[in-house]
Amino acid sequence: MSDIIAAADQTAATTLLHDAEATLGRLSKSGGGSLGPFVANYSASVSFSGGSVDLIPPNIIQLADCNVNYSLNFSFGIDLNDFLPSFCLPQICIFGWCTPKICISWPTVTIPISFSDTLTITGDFTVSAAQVGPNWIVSITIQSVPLLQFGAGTAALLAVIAAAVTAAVVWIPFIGPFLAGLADLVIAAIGIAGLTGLLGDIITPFISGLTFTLPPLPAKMLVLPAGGPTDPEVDVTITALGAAVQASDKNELVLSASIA
Amino acid sequence: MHTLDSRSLSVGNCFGQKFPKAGEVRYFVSAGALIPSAAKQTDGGYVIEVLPASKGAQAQQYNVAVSLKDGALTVSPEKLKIHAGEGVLWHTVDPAVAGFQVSGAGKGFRFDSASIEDDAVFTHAFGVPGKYEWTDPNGSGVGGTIEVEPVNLKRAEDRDRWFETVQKAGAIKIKGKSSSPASVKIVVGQTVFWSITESPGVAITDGRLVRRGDHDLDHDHGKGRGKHKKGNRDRD
Amino acid sequence: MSLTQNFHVFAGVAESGINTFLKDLFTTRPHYLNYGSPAFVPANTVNATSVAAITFPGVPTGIQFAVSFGIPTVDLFPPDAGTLSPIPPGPNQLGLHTKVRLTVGCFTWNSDPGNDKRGQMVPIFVDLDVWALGQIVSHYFGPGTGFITFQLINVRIPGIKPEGLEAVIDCVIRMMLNALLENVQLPFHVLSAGVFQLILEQGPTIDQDQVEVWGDI
Repeated sequence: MSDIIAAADQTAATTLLHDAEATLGRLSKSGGGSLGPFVANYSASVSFSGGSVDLIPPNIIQLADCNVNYSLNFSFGIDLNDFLPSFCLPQICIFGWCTPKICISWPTVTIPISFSDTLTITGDFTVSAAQVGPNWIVSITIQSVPLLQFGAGTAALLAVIAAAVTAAVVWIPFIGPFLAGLADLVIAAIGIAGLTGLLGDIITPFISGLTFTLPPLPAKMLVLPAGGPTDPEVDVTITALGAAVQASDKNELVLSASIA
Repeated sequence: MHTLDSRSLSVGNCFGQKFPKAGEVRYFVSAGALIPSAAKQTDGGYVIEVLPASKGAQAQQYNVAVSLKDGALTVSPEKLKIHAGEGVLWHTVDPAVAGFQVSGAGKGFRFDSASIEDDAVFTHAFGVPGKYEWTDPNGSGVGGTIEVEPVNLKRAEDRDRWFETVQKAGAIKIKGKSSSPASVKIVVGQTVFWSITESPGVAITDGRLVRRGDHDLDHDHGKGRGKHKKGNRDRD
Repeated sequence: MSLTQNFHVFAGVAESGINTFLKDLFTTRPHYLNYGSPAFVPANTVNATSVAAITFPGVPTGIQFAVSFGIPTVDLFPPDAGTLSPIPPGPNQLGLHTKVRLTVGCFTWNSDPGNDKRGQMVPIFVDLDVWALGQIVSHYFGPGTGFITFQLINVRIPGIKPEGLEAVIDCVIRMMLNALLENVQLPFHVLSAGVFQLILEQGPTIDQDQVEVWGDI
């Protein structure tokens, strides 16, 4: 029999998990990926919040509708010559002078995008406990990456890209007459698949292996602080810690510890 | 880039100069003001050999393309042989050329795209809509307004109509210290020609590039050509 | 039956856990168990607490004595099978068992008038088996803060005759044990192994050989 048993029902486990989400904070990474035919360089950060917990014996914590709050900064370059027709200033003669025909070479421009959105995921997590250095860590780890539904965020991001394309090229001489269809052409080149592909590439690593942890439990747990020269600190040592979802009339997350 | 400024020519700008006298003219293409001036330089640059006018022959125009090669401005063709009364027009199609100025001198003759005097032309194709107040930073007092309207090519007919329109140019004449017309209205893609004769030495510049008081400052452009003080013109 | 029952969280410390805690506490701070007058304990140390001798007119240096308890062990309800306690714990009660050594400095002195009283002290002692019955007292100050402690309601030291003497010794030992047990404070965060901050809603109660609390977080 364990020396100490702590149990949390579904409601309390939800609170514990939400606290763990907050403790995990904001995760960041950067890299490169494909955005349709373009190559995008990105930096991204993700945080998790909310969701409801369903404790499923023997050892599953299902987290439903967890918010994945992501912020992206990415940029990609487009060679405008791929999208715009060639345009030449014609030869014009006046005052006894003739200008030469000058063909405009459209530049390659970088489109910077900043975008934030939230998607929800539902996934099965397993709970386990292990001693890591001086602490016992209770980990709640996702089993597999659920299907990521970007949904309305995709449409919003397409609109952001369209606006960014227009803003990035509006300064380019002679582009004005061709501007109307440019954003549409770029968006069409990227496509929904290109966009969800990039979003998936960026967000998936944050979710693969996603692990929430409960507050670390010091293996040497302070019971009474030192109270003077004749009252040294009193500790008990957690020698073993187990974590499991147990079934009864209501399912519970149960932690059991042995102390010495 | 692509600013309205004869002191800094880029894609869409041309500067043309006619050569009235026979003789050798040495000219330079530089990214900024040439110091010392072309009149004081006896080597380097490029040479235009101006032969006496050939009677009965139609005057030709010679185009010189400026480009960036290994970080330096170069011209093509490098050597020109023309006849008196004929003109040379400098331009660039190289987007890497951020801006250049042409200045040269021969015996009793000088020219400079930053201080245009006589029998010369400056052109600028307007690529961005807006209202442009052009002025002369050298202080001659010439100036005016170019109103460039946007174009939206929604249909094929629009494009055809626009292509026709851009083949027509706006025209401004500067003679001495006066210019006309005061305002020109065009659409994006159209070119405006400034024909300059008998001028004290003007530059055509977007007013936004000219700091308040530049006309009164004796800076690089002002020195020797900008203030139009008697005696200054040959000081270089 | 679930552990949390009608609450959201449950925390329980088993009898073995309580005894581990008591062992750790008294091993670290043995002075809670060992007391003596200056002849036995000249000064407070981590091992023993110095107390005044019992003054009695005419007895030079007063009556020197020492009291030394063994590390107590608790038996949470229901009582352990085969317990020898004369007062086994009932529902929501705990039994406590320890040993105590009572030592008296038996002083013999020269009573010649006019001379300083000089003599010699011989310690004599008795070891007693102490059985006690107690309950848990909760000091709850707010979420995750507070502690539980023990309070004895009865002490029995079997085998002392006459019965009146046993009553006297029982009373003295009960007073001493209750006083020293005030130092035994088991924080709520230990009850929950530090996993959550308990908002105490029910308990502590003693049942199924463990101290149990329920509440919310």
